[in-house]
Amino acid sequence: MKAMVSQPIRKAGEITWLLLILLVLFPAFTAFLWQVVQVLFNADGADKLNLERIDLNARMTLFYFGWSFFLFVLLPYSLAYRYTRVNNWPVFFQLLLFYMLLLLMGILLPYASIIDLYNTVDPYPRVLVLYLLLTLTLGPLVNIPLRWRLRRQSNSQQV
Amino acid sequence: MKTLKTILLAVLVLLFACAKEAENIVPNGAPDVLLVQTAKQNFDEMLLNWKQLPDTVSQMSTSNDNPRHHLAKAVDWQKAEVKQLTIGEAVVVPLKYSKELFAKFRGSNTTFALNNAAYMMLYKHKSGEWRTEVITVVADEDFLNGAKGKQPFSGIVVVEDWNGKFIRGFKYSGGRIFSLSGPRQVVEQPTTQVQLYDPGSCTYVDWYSCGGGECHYMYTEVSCTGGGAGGGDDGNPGGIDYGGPYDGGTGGSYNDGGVSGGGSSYLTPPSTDALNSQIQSKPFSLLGDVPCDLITKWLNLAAHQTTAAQKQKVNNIIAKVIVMSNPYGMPISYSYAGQVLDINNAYSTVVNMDYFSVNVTKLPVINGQQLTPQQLLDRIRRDINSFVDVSLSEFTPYNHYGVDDTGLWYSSNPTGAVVSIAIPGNSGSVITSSYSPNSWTFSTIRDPFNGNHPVSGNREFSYVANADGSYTFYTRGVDRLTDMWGTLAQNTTGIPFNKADALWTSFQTKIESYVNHNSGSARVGETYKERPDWAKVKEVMEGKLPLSTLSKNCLWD
Repeated sequence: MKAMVSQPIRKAGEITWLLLILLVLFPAFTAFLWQVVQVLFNADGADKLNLERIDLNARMTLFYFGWSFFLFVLLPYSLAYRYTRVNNWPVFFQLLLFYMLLLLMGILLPYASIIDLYNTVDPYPRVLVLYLLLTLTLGPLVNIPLRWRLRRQSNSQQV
Repeated sequence: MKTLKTILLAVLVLLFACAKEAENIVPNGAPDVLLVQTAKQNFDEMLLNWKQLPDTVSQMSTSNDNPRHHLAKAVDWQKAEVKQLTIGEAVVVPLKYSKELFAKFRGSNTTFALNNAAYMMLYKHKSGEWRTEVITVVADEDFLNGAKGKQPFSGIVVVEDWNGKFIRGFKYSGGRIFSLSGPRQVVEQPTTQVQLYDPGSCTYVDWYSCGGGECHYMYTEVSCTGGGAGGGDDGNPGGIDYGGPYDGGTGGSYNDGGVSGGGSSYLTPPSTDALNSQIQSKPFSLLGDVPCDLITKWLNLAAHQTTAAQKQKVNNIIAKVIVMSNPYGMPISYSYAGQVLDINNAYSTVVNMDYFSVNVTKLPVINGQQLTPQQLLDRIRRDINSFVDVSLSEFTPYNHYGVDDTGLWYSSNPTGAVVSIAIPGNSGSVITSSYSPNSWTFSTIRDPFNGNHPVSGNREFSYVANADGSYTFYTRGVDRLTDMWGTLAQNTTGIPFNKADALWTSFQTKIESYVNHNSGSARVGETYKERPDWAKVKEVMEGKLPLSTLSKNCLWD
C-alpha cells in the first residue's frame, strides 16, 4: 500500500523537477551564464553583470527558446537515459552527450535556440563556452530526476 | 464631462478660497534639512552641466529667444521648504532674478513683479533622477482685481527647466484649466495692427523693464492653448510707457499714468501644492502627466502612412515557394509577398508609445571638425549598429529576393530603403517611409525573409534644437504587437516591448558615450514608455475623445 501511494507522488516529483528545469532553471542559468560569457569575452563592451539584461534574456529564453531546448536536448537526453545504457555511462560521458545535444540544437536551429541570444552571424566560440557552462550546471540537475525514476522502477521490479 | 468640470471647478474654488495658503508662492511646509541638502547637491551638479545663458536682457537674438531666460537667477536656499505633494516630497525654493521685470496681460492695466511670480521646485522623479522646474505664475487682471479669496485663480502658469526650456503650461480661466501647447513664442510688440497669433486661443503677456521711475516695454510672450495660429486684428497700441515712479516694492501694481499699490505683495498665485493638486485632481487619464506636446506628436506618428510607391515596393518583395505535397506529385507553388504592416490591423489591444532622448549640449568633434546636428544624425543613421546594442537588434540593408537596398540606405536620401533587423527570437524588417536631413521614419513591414515584424507601427529618429543652444536627439515610436504570438509573449514575459525598451535605452547611452568620447557633451534625456489601450488612443485620434483622455497635461484641449 505504501509503495502504491508513494509511486505516483514520486512520479509527480520527477515531472515537477523536470518542469522546474525547463521553465525556471534553464532560462535563469542561460541568461546568467550568457552574461558571464559576455564579460569573460568582454563582448559588446560588457565588463560587469547587468541584472536587467539577465532578466530580459531569461524571459526571452523562456518564451522563444524553451521549446527547442525541450525538443532537442531535454527530451532526447531523458529518453536516452531511460531507454539506453546512458545511465550506466560515467558522468563525464553523460555530460558530453548533453553538450553534443546542445551543440546540435544550435546547428539545426540557429534562429530558434539560445544561440540566437548572441544575435550575430558569428557567435562562436562564445556559444561553445555557454554550452559548456550550461552542461556543467544543468546536466547534473537533469540527471537527478532521471536517476530517481530509474531507482523507482528498479525498486518496483524488486517488489 | 460636465460633471467632472463642475467638480474640478468646485475643487479650484476651495483651493483658492484658502487665502492664507494662496498668498505664499512658497508653501509653508516642515523643513527637511537632509532633503533640501540632497536637492541642493543635485541642483549644483545639474548646474555644472548646464550652459548658462548670458545675463543680459538688452538683446533678443532670435524671435524665440526669451529675454527672461537670460536673467541670472539667485536661489534662496535659506528659504527652501519641503512639501509633501502627490508626486512625493518636493523642495520649493524662492528665486530672485538679477533684474526685476514686470508682466502685464495685454489689454489689462495691472502689472506685477517677476520676483513674486517665480519659484523653483525640485523633486525626485519616479525614474530616480532629480527634476528641477522653474514655475512662473502670471495672474491676470480679473484675478488681481477681484475679491481676494473669493474667486478661483485665473492667469497662466508656465513650468520650465532651469534654462527656460518649456516643460508644460496651463491657462486658468473661468474656473477651467487649459494646457498651453509647446514652447511659448516671444515676439516684439507689433508695430502694425496685424496679429500673429489667434487672439481667441492665445494669451499675450507684455514684459516691462523698470528703473529710474520709468518702465519700458521689452517684449511679449504669447501662450496658446491648442497650438493654433491664425490671423486677427490687435487693437492694442504698442509701446506703453508707464509714467510715475516705481517705489521699489515687489509686486507693486502699475497703471497707465501712475502707481497703484506697491509695497507688499497682493499677487495670490496658486501654491505648488495647489497646482499639483489641481493637476492630480483630474480623475482619469491614461498616461498620467505625459507632456501634451509629446502626446500630439505620438498621435501624428501613429497616423503616419507609407506612400503608395513604398507599399508597392514592399508588395513586390516576393518569395516563390514550391511544394510537392499533392498526391500526384505535381508541384504547387505559392508566393509569399511583403506587406506594410498597418497599426490599425495589429493584434494587441495595447499600443506602445515611447520616447527616448539624449541632450547634446556640445556636438562631437570628428577629425578636428565639430559636427552639425544633421551630420550627427546622419552618422547615427549610417552607422546605426554602433549606436545600439547589437545583441538586441542588428540593422542591415535589405538584400534578399532580388531587392538590394544597400546603396539606397547609405545614400544621402534613403527614402524607401528596406532595412532588415535581426532580433533574437523574432526578426523583422522596416521601410524608411520618410526622410529629411533632420529626421527619418521607419515603418514596419512583413517580408519573406524575416516574416512579420514583431510590431506594427512607425518609429521616428530626429533631433530638435533647444532654446539654450543644445540639441535633443531622440527616437519616438508608436506601435502595436503584430500577432497573437507576440501578444502572448508580451502578456507572459513582457517581451517584445521590454526588449525594445532595452534596445532604445542602449541607443541613448551609446549616443551619449559617442558624443562624450569625441570632445562633445551629452547626457541621457527624458524617457517615456507608455502602453495605453489602443481603442482609447484611436478614439482620441478620431476626435471622439478629448486629448485630456490621454494626459493630465492636456486638460480640456
